Amino acid sequence: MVMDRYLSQIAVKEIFPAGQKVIESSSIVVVGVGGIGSAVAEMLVRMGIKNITIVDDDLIENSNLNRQAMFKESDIGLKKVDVARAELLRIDEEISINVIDQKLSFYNAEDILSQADIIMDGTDNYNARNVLNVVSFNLKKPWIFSAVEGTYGYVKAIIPGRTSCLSCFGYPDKGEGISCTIQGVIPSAVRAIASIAVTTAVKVLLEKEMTGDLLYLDVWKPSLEIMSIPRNDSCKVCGERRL
Amino acid sequence: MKVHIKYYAKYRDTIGKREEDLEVEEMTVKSLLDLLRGKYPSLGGDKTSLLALNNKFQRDETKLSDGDTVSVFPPVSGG
Repeated sequence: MVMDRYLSQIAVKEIFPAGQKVIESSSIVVVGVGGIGSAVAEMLVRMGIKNITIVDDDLIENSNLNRQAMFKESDIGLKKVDVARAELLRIDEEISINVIDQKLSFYNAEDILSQADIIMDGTDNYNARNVLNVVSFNLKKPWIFSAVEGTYGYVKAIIPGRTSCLSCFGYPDKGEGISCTIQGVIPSAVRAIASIAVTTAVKVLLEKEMTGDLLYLDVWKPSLEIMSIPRNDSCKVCGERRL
Repeated sequence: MKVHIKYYAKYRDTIGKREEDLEVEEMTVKSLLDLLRGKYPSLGGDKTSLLALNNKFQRDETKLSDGDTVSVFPPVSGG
């Protein structure tokens, strides 16, 4: 039954023949299980990830339900990680899932991220992404930056020692940003960015994504742009000539 | 010299255009951003705007050349 589940994706030449084994043997950490993070976690478990950690300290609110597909009206007021854990186990009861009911910070990030083969960005603010960027670089762990707003968003693979990092191109390293409820976002943009993030993660795991290009997608126009971001020798996080 | 500017995401609404050609003197990527912030105060609302030169992100001190295309993106934080 288990093999049947993955037949359709194993048939894809980009996955066949060894890719599925790599996916199933990889450990993933998803930081933030809101719009992007919950979609990412769901897709990765459906693809065969068996070892997953989810990190979030938020409760489910009514305003989440337009785009955070794992959550339902009956979940309002519950912890996101608890509901996500139950939903992911409903998809695959054999997964090993570690739940961390905390906000990622410089105090806990090394412990949380150190066991990951790849880290998925489901955060919604600059401070948390700065923690991800710095600690992932120190741990030499690849991570997938993803962010969304309105009808558009970004995805970028960050592979320490190989690609540019978030700081290389001037992405802000401080601030809470503006919440999705205030700045606005449509669910289709969230899902599209999450889908590209998952694809990028699988490519990194299969060593088929090494560029670290920044992908910009607007689902409304629609338009897709890919821009290269060279490593910055003077980058304060990963630059070889940083002070 | 002439450079082609492309605006993305919310900047298309706040500036009111998707692209334009600008006649500028010899300048760096950073100088161009300063010039654009002066021309369009709404750009100044973001502490950081992301600029790609000919579809490649460049350091602030990179000099522009005639015919360059500069893409201007806002930072995005949501998830």
